[in-house]
Parts: sequence; structure tokens; C-alpha cells
Amino acid sequence: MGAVLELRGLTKHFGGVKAVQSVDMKVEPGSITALIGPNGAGKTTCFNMITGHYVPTAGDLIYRGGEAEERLNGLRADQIAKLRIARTFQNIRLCPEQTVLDNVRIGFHTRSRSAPWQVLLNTPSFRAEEAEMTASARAFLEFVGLDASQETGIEALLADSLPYGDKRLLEIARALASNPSLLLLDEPAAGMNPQETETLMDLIRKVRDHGITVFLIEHDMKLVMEISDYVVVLDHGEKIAEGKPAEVRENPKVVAAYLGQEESDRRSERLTKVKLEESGADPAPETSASGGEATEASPDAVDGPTDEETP
Amino acid sequence: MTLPRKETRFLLIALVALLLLPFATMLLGDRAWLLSLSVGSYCLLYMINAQALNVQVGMTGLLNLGPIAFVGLGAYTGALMLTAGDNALIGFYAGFVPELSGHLRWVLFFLDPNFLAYLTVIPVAIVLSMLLSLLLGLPTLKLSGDYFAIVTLGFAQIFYLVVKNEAWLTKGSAGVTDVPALFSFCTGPNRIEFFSHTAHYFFGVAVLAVCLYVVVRLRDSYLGRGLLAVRDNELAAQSNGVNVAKYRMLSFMVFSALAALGGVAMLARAKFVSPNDLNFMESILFLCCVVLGGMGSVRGVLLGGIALGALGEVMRIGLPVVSETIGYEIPAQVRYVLFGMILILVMRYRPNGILPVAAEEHAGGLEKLGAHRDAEPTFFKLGTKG
Repeated sequence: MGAVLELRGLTKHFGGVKAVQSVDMKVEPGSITALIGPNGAGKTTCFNMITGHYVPTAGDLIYRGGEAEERLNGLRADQIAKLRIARTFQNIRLCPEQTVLDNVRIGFHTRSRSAPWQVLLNTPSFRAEEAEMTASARAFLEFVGLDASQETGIEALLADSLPYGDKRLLEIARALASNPSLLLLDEPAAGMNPQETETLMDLIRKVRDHGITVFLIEHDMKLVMEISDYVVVLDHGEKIAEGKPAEVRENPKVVAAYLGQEESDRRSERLTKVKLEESGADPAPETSASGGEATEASPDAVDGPTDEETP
Repeated sequence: MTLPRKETRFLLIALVALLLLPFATMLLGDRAWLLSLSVGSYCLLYMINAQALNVQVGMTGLLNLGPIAFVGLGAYTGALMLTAGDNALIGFYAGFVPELSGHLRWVLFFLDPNFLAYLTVIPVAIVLSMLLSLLLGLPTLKLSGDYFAIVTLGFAQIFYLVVKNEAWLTKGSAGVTDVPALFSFCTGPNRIEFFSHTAHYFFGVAVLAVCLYVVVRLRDSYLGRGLLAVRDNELAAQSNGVNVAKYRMLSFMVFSALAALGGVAMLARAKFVSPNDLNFMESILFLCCVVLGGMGSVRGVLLGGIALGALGEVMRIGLPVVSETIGYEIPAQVRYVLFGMILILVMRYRPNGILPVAAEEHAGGLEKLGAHRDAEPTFFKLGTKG
């Protein structure tokens, strides 16, 4: 079996804006794959094409998580959901006026097998399905760490009344309820405190251990580096690097994209210096280990946004 | 949704109360009895049609400004079928069933030729209404909210004009008169007889019961959850496998079926239908019942229907009396002013309606399903649609 999901030359243009430009990548089954990149790099656009919310301008989306190999281009979002691809959204999209439990039960939509006449006649098989779904929905709430016990009564609360982090967990519970083969998480850790992020990392690993392939977009580098098996980096709609987290972290193009060109140059200089010193030679005055297409950095180039990346 | 128990109890009590109303008011004398039947049956029409509209507007979030067209279609289909060829349909059934007399005809009411004719008309009205909603929905349901509302508004006006002008089919502005009553023995001598005066009322209660059953069953299933998801978050609904176009159509068709049923109930009450019954204000009043009661709330919309129906009919009967007493003619349109004021007050103090869904759920609590603690997340148990 090949990759669960394969992007072949995936391209999306909005008028003159090239949001995603000919991206090739693979998501291996049973892996946690991360898609990273600076803001506006085209990550969410990629997700939206995979889940059928955008139609690609060019390229192919090949999915092998179902029974047969499927080409996702041109399918509607609900058809793609039926192929067992579930997702969460960057801006949480719950049904705020409905209860927590009902939000999870929406996730069972693709798994409901009762015919409308069975619904109307309230047949025993329909009732059994409903009961099983409700029990399972509660189990999913507990699975993601939202305590579904009757005492706290979280399941009867309106989704809107949950704290931010719990809303994200609820969205994951809803996505899991559809029994996905591939789960797309769009910035699951956004707005979470470090403790919540730790819990989330455990949850994502737990999901993976259930045989679900996880493909996620995330800005929290600690999360990405710790849990991903494979990382793909986008910048300005193009793939600039991919590989194991450790490789990607050292990739000069990635450093340049994240920290600005100047910082990247400085880092490569330091690196070269160290290497040259090790080999006993004089440090070369000018080095250019960074990406070839990189432009000359302006004097007031952006400072590195975080210290996370500096060794 | 899991609220039911308390809600089911509420709905059952409401239905039983409606059934008992004619018996209770009988004790107050003939005049009060007739008045209560008149107000009661009028309320029933509002409750039925508001409940139908609740599926589309309240549960799916699709604003429909022309529900009266579908109610009218039901009423007109019934009226024209029943009167066609000099009541041929009733004559057809009369040839089959034995003529009953005395109390036996009440006990075996379902064998009455008029009633059989009404029962025949119902499915035809429903199918026609659903076909019409399909035809109207196919090209327009993809429009975003407000545009669809305008389409329904325009459609109701077109329907009104067609009915008014195509006299060869609809009898024009005179309307269809002398529609047979629900039961053949209701047409007897003009004296106050219990069953002839209450038959259409009980028929209305039965229709309301059917509506409530359908709406509650629909809502408490994956179909209803799909509708609610479309209303609350279209993108999330799609990503969970809900075909938005299909579910919008579903809500439109369920609405149109129930509205046609309401139309037949309207016909059974009035035994007459004319273009005046297709007034735009009726559409707005149905909509008011939904908004007033609480969008999507079955109990709330029931209360909204009672409130506006009763108010309307009481004012229709009461205003002339008041006018006569004070010696000054109060125009009948005053009731619309009053409706407007009530709506403004409700929106000011209870913006989510009399009985909003959220309040229902918290008050109702959730049904307890045993053994949920032992349940495992069923990743692979339920399987998926292929």
C-alpha cells in the first residue's frame, strides 16, 4: 500500500495570487505528518483542497485510505467526508447553539445507516443505532479528555459555553466520531497553553496508535518537532523542504523562511566557521550555504520571531 | 437530540388538552362552546403550519416568506378534487360503502364517503406540494439565505395571481365554494349538534399530532442533526458528510408536505377557499409563530401558534363587538398593529423566543443511557457507508 494521501503538482491560484504552487508530497499511512510554514504560506489552502472546499487549479489529489484508490479532485466536501477523511478547522467550527454531545453526534453522520422510513417509524434498529451512537459519542468525549460523566454534565452544555481549548478537543472528538482513516488537524494547538499542548500531543499520538493517519498544520514548533514523523515546509505556496523533523530544522531554506534571510546567513556562517575550524582551515570571508534563490537581505530584515529555532 | 422525555410529555399533554377542550367548554353554554371551537380550530391551523415552517426556517435556517402558497396549494387541491364533477369523488365512495345511520355512523366514521374522499385528497395534495417545492427548490436552493427568501416571497405572489386569474381551473376570485364537509352527516339541518361542529376540529388535532410526530422524529435522527448542522455551520456540516443542497431540499420538501396537510385541515374547517386566503400577511403570521415561539423549538412554536392564532381569532370576533360598544369603528387591520407590537416586545425581552431550544435542553436534562462508562470509542464497530 502506498501513501494514504498524495499531492501531485497541487496548485491553487486566486486570480493573480498563487496561493499554492505545484506542491508534491505524500502522507504515509499510520504516520503523523506536519505541514508547516510561515503565515500565508498556503497550508490551509492545501487542506481546503484536500477536503473539497476549494477546487484545485491544477494537480492531483490521490487518496488511498478507502477501499480503492480515489482521485479527490472535483469531489464535494461531503463526498470526501464519506471517504473517511475528517478535519478540524483553524477557526473552530462547531455548532455553538447545540449541546456538546450533539456536536459529537454530527460526526456520526456518514455512519448512519437507517433509512428515512426507519427514522419516521422509529424502528428498533434505528433506536439501537441511536443508542449505540450516543454511547459511542460519550466515549469519544472521554477519549479526547472531555469528561463525559453525568456529574460534571459537560455533554449537556452548549458548545459555545466551553473554554477555548475544550472547543478544540470537541472538534477533534467530532472528527474522530466519523471513524476517519485520515485526520486533518488545522492548527490544533492554537490558543492552547503549554500544559494543554502537552495533553494534545498525547492525544494526537493516541489517535495515531489507533491506526489513524494524522496530517496536521501547526505553528507550535515544539509540538511539530516532538510528534511528527515527517515534516513538509511550505513558503509562498511552494514546498521548500521536507524530511524528518531534525533534518527540516537544520535546513537553511527553512531557517530563512522562518527567521529571515539575515539570521539565516548568520547561522550558516557560524556553521561554516565551526566546520572550517574543525577541519583546521581559515574561515572563508563570504559563505553562501543558504538557498540559491534567496534575495539579498535588507538591513532592517525581520528579527527571528522566537528563540525556539536557535540551537 | 436527547431531550425528549419532558418534551414528549409536554406535547402529549397539549394534544390531550386540545382534545378535551370542546368537552370542557360545552359546560359553558352553546355560545361559548361555538366560540371556543372557532378559536380552537383557528389556532390549530397556525400550530400546524407554524410547525411545518419550523422545519425549514427554525431547524434549517432557510427563510421562507411564502409558506401560504403551499398551504393554499393543499387547500385548493382538496377543494377542486372534492367538488370536481359535482362531488364525483364522494359519489364514487358512496357507491361502495353502506349507508349508516344513528350512532353507528359516528363509530364507523372512517367509512363515511366524505371522509374517505378527504383521505384520498390528502396524499395527492402532499405529493403535488412536494413536487412544487422540488421544482422551486432545484434552481433556487443554492442561493444564499436572503435571496432564497425573496424567491419564496415572489413565488407566493405568483401563486396568488395565478389562482386569482386562472378562473377556468380555480374559479377565480370567487373561490371554490360549497366544498363538502368532512362527514356526510355534518351537512344536516342547521342545529347545534356535537359531532357536526367538532369534526373538523378533531381532524385538526389529528393533523397536528401527525405534524408533531414527523417533526420530532425527524429532528431526533441523523437527518435532523444534518439540518441543524446546515443551519449552525454549513462548512462543518459539509466536512461531516452532510450534503448541504440535499438537506436544504429535504427541509423544503418536509415543510411543503406538512403545509399541504395544513391546507387540507384549513379546507375542512372553512369548506371554502378563495384567493383571499392566500394573503401575504398569513405567511408573515406563520413566520411570526416560529420566531415568537423560538426557532427550531417544537414546544415553543406550538405555543407561538396558540398565542397568535387565539389573538387573531379573538380580535376578529371581538373587535366588531368592541366597536359597537364604544360607538367607533375600529378597523380590522388593528390586529396586525398589535401583532407587530407583540413581536417587538418579544424580540426585546426574549430575543430567542418564548421557549428557546437551549432553555429546553437545560430544563429537560438528558436522557440517561446506561453503561456509557464501559463503552469504547467505536472506531471500527459501526462501519461506514461505502
